[in-house]
Amino acid sequence: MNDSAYTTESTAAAQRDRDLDDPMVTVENLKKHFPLFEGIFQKKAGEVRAVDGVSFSIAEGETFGLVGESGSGKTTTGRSMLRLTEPTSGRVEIDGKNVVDLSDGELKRFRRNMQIVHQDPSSSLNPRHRVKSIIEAPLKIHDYGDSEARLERVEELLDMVDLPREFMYRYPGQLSGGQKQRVGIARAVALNPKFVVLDEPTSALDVSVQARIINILEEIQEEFGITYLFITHDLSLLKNVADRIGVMYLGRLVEVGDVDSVFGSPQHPYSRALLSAISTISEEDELAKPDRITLDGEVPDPREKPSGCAFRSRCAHEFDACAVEEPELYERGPDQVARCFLHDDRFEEGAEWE
Amino acid sequence: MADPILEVKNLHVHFETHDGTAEVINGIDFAIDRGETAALVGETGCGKSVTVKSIMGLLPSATIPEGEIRYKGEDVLSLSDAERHSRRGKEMSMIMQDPMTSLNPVLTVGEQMMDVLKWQGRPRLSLSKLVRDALSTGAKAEHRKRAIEMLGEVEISAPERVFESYPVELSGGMRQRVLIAIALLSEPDLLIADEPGTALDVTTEAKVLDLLDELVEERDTSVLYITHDLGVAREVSDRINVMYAGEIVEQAPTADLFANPQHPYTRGLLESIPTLSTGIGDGIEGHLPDYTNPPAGCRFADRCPHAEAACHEAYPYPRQTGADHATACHLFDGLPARERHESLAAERVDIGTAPWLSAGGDTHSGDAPGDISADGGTDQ
Repeated sequence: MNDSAYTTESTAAAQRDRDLDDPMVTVENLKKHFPLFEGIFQKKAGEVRAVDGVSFSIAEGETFGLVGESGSGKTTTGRSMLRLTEPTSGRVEIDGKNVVDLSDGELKRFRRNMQIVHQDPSSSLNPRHRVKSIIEAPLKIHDYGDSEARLERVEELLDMVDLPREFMYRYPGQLSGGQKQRVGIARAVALNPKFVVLDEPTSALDVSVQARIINILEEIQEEFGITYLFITHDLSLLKNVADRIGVMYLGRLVEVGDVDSVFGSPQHPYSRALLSAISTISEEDELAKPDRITLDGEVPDPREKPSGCAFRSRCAHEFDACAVEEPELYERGPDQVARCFLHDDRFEEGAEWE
Repeated sequence: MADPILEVKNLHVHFETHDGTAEVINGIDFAIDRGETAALVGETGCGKSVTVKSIMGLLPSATIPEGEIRYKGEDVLSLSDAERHSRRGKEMSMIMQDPMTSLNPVLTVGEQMMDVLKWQGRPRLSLSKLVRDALSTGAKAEHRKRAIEMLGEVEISAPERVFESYPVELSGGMRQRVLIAIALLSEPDLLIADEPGTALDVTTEAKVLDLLDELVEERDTSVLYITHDLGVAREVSDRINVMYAGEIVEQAPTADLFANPQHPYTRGLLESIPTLSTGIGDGIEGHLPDYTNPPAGCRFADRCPHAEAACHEAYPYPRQTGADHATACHLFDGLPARERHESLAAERVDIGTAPWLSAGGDTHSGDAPGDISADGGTDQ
């Protein structure tokens, strides 16, 4: 990388540092444990620590991408942040308010600031309601003007997501997948929220439709400065939409950083393996990703996570220390941290990391 | 294509619906050479699953008004049900898309595998056979051994345990391996893989695809690979057939297709795929045409940025645009790829040439994926 590129990048990093001093969203040590019950008396028999101490922050107007495989806890993280499932502990500050502490009444009022776009547009829209009443629902709940004002807003929102206004009177069953997801987006941004969780908003859609939806989401973000948490398993997609990303494995963040650093030089063996598994459509991309790394075995049962580093059962670099304690997040760049002992000076095994 | 194992010629598939006849597959042609992996790529609803189900004979409700499906030179559409049954599973087998639902939940993996060995190539139930099977325990032990061996070959670490397991006890990746093992049990000559990686996580998908690749390589099996993901198709296949709305709009060897994509749909699709180096395009506006009332001309015209009035009227027969490259688009000149379209070629539609060709001269340029952007990620 030449000098000028380096300077631009570090200026961008400095800018981000400033923004991150006063982030829109801060998550601190968020935990969500699901209890497991057993036997006829439903005795508590342990728990699944789906989200186990996750911390990150998102600057205003930025997109933070959360990536991981199924069962990594990325969706649970997003849902706990909005208290759609009650977090077990931790702090989620959105626009200066700790969401975890809000009472039911306060939470309901605060919801206008934080919204979600669900993964499957076919099951997240009520099939018996017309598009108008679906988009109007949040407006009604939060007492947005009279019916005329609401109608105007619905029209505005349909324009925003590039749907013809007549679609207002259709039922979800009459729309294609992409059109349904546009309705889902219109509903989420209806009240001008500050923060929106996008939970795999395009994974049920074809790529040609996905590109349109991503463009719409980006336009809306640019215009209204909305902060996004973008949850996905698709790394190539994340490269295109996120400013910073976090890689999750078994309920923990294993690497966090700005998107160019993590893609340019992944610092955790798991991030590297994920990146290496991307299928590409050009030689350039083929060269831009690490050589194929095949992981041993499968993701362990979340009820019985390995001791120490949860990834060690599949890691090619595992050594003694990995089983004993869990690595902390080691700083690996201006805005990049990775949870791996290979970056700890105490161990000489780190030399393996080229 | 000297000696193709499978040849599909001018295949039409129709379904009767309440709204009239849905002309889902509209005259497609493709072939697979022995030992070759061909991919059929397209988005939801383009007819790729209907195509492979017609090949397998798994569409009792469809009518096939026209066309030929030749397997090893023999027209399978003219065979009786029993004859097709005897080839299914033995000569050609299929890996289904969803590992969660395509195994029977009330039978163990072992029982499902033994079924394949017991029934392969046999026309349904015969009483004498049943009695003979019940009496011979030797075959059963043989089958069991063979099934466990096969599970080992798909790199399942405890094949005996998995053999006794029910599908719910296995993870998605394991189930997909079981499906591959079942499909390969009878040593088929043609394997049809319908999106075998789609329901899996990326790291698991990559592993399953590598494994499948190895296994078919060893056995010299011909594979028809169905996917919506051009990236996956690029990794696994030798040839790609791009499908849109029941027609094959472009076919070419894999490398050629990516180096020189021609049909506006192929290009739109390529531009829509998020890449590491160039970013994400604008996608393709609009949606699939109504199959019960398909357009007379080009089925993609409504969504095509280059369409002219003539495109809506004249059928864009596939034409030869390179040594081994055929594209169904009026933007391209060339001899008809199929003899039956020679009469159409006489009334040539002139809508000029492809703008991306006349502009730069470089077939690769334009906003198609290809150029590397300045921002990092490429200097690893």
